Amino acid sequence: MSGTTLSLRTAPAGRIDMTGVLPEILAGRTAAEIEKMPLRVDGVPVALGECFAVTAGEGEALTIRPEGARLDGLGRDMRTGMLRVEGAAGHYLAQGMRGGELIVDGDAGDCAANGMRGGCLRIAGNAGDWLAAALIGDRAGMGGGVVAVGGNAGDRLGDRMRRGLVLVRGRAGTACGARMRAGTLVVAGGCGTLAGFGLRRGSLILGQAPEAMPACHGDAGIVTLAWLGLLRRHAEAILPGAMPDTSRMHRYMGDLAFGGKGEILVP
Amino acid sequence: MLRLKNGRLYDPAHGVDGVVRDLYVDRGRLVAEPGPGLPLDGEIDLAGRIVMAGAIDLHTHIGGGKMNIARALLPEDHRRDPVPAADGMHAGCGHAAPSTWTTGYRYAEMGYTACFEPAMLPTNARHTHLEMGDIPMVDKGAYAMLGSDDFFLRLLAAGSDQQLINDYVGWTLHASQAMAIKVVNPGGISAFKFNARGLDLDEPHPYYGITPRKVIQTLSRAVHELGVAHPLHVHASNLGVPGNADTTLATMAAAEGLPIHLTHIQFHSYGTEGERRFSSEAERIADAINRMQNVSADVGQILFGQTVTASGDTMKQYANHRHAHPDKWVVADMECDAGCGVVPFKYKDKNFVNALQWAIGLELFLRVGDPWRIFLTTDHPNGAPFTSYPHLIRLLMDRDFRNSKLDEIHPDAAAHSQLRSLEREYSLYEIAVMTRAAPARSLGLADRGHLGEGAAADIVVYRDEADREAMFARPEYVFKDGELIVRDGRVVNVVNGALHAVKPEYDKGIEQSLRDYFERYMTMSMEHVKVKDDEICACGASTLIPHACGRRA
Repeated sequence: MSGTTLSLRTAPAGRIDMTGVLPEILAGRTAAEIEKMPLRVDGVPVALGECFAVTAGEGEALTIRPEGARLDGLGRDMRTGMLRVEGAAGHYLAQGMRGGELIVDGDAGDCAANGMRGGCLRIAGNAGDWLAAALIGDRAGMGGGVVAVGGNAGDRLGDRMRRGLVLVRGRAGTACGARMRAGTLVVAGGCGTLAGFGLRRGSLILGQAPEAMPACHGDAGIVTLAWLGLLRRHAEAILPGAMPDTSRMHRYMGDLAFGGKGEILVP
Repeated sequence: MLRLKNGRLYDPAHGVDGVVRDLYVDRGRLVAEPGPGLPLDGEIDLAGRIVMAGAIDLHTHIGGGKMNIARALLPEDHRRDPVPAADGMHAGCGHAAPSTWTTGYRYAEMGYTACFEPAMLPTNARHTHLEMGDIPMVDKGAYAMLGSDDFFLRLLAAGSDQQLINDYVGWTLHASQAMAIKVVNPGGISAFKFNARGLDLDEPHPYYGITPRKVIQTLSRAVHELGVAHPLHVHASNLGVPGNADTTLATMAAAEGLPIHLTHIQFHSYGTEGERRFSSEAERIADAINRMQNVSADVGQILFGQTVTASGDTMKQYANHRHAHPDKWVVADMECDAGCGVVPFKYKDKNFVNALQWAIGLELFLRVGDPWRIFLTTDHPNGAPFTSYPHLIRLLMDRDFRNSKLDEIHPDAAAHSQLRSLEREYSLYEIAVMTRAAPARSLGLADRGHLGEGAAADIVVYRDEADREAMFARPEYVFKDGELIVRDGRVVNVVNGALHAVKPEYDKGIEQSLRDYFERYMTMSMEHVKVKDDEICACGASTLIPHACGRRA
């Protein structure tokens, strides 16, 4: 039983806003109905059928083939079902996602998983800046669910994050885990400067130590944490190779300017 | 020349109440019937349609620093109302604190052709004009805020001559390109900075020693003597405080017979009766307005839902901050001369206080007999966004609809209010008075708000629908200065409105003491504060319309 498929006809000059094109909404609709759904190309309303060839299927499964086009807002506010993007995703991927599974075979743009509350997002390639951060203007970032990135993540990963788990197999940019309130961030390849800047609570687990630890994080020595083993078992099932294979890590508490209840763990 | 024929006209400025008549528009103006032989460029048959002048909102917060703060504070509100670009219109966002472009489009789409920003701090005037310049479609103007600024309070405390005060007020109107003078919580914004949490009408200011009554007396006299058409625009003391109706009545008396406009009077009509120590004093306030011909008011009706309150009244906004919904707020000082308080707020129909506020506003509308002296506002966005005006008009025009809404609010509030016993229903003529003719007259806009010869061709055509909310939400045609700008409730032609400002005479000698004062105390020099005439179009307005003032002794 295969799901619905949308294949781009020709890439338009502008960006396509895919808000509202979700497995749960497309389920049970015929191809003709789906083709009539409104999309916006650079803010101008366009029928979905003008951009995509539609093959209607059964169940809450949807495959989108972007064919090089820039598709923004994929999986925005998704609640259930399965969405697969066979290629790269644009900006604002999985914003406010609450459930279901979203798989991107290629890279994702900026502001993915902003304000995400639940479900599972997998990005095979690299993610842009502000992954798992707050929706613009909001006070709290990602509030639940799992994000797994096969490649690298950009700057401001997990900014203001509140809950949930982010696994990155590659490297992260600057200000990784900045202003985090809680939650768990695992970056196998380490990160740039300003790691954990303004960190309030939560754990930032780095597979490689940054060049210099931020000044506002106090050295709490080498510790053995049993929960790291449990987390590794959980993480390996989602994204193998993201979580360091040890329960003994060097712990830095911080950010001391913001209460110092967070931690950065490095090998 | 364009002929609009067979429309049913409501033009209270000329006493025209539903008369079928043709209108002729030529080069942006309404003109006399040209007689036979003159070729018409176009003709629209408006049989069965209702024709009024473009509506005028004389109190709506659409520009200035506080609106930018309100916008920055409410991303979640914007997210729910995105406005994509379309048909030559700029993208933006809407609801409680819309973007500048959306503000203009949505006003025009409801048949409004002029809007006045009531709280412009003179030192912030350039920003306000830049922001208003970005609002398309409608004419604009702003009221300069005085009464809590240090220079004025010093003059007052020193017992300065009224003439000197008049010169300062006149200078302020010129420097800030304003249309009128507003006073917000007279002296109270300043007193807040001296740790006062309230300042009653006859209470001396903790530092300057002057009373709010003195501020109102002096400013209303200055505005009157300078010959500014719009009376002193007063946001009275004790906004929102139960029992403030006494202060409001005393404020009316403080004008000592000079014209005075009390704004968002709904927030100033509260008593302290009942178990919850909060009751309606709408009857007493309305009686006073009915009795005192020098008093006019706009209502500041609240309507239920999410909005944001933005006010210069830092003292009262600070007191309200614990009701912020969502829980974030800004209270700031500006140049030590005024304040700015922005508190998001959600009015709930099941909340006793909110429900009674709703009923008090409607009671005021229905109890004030003279629609020439009570104006239709929600104090946008403080009581509700301006987009709820059609709903409000229906509440006033349709008693059954009003009573059905009354059934939905908090039952104790419904029981406390006498709203159900008020049978009055506004007529189309009265709506045309309070939204067109009266604001134009109050502001001294001689060629707006009416359909007489020589008037600017700001014309709105409505379908005569039984559902007045639907009718006023989607006019069939809106013309601005003779150009068709809205068709069936959608903008079809984006135009840029003018800026109205008054130009009273005053003695420029005041600049000497002002220059010294600015050098000594302010972050800007006096020359930089002044917004020059040629800047207005650079700010985005299509043109500056100066209004001369006839000096009064």
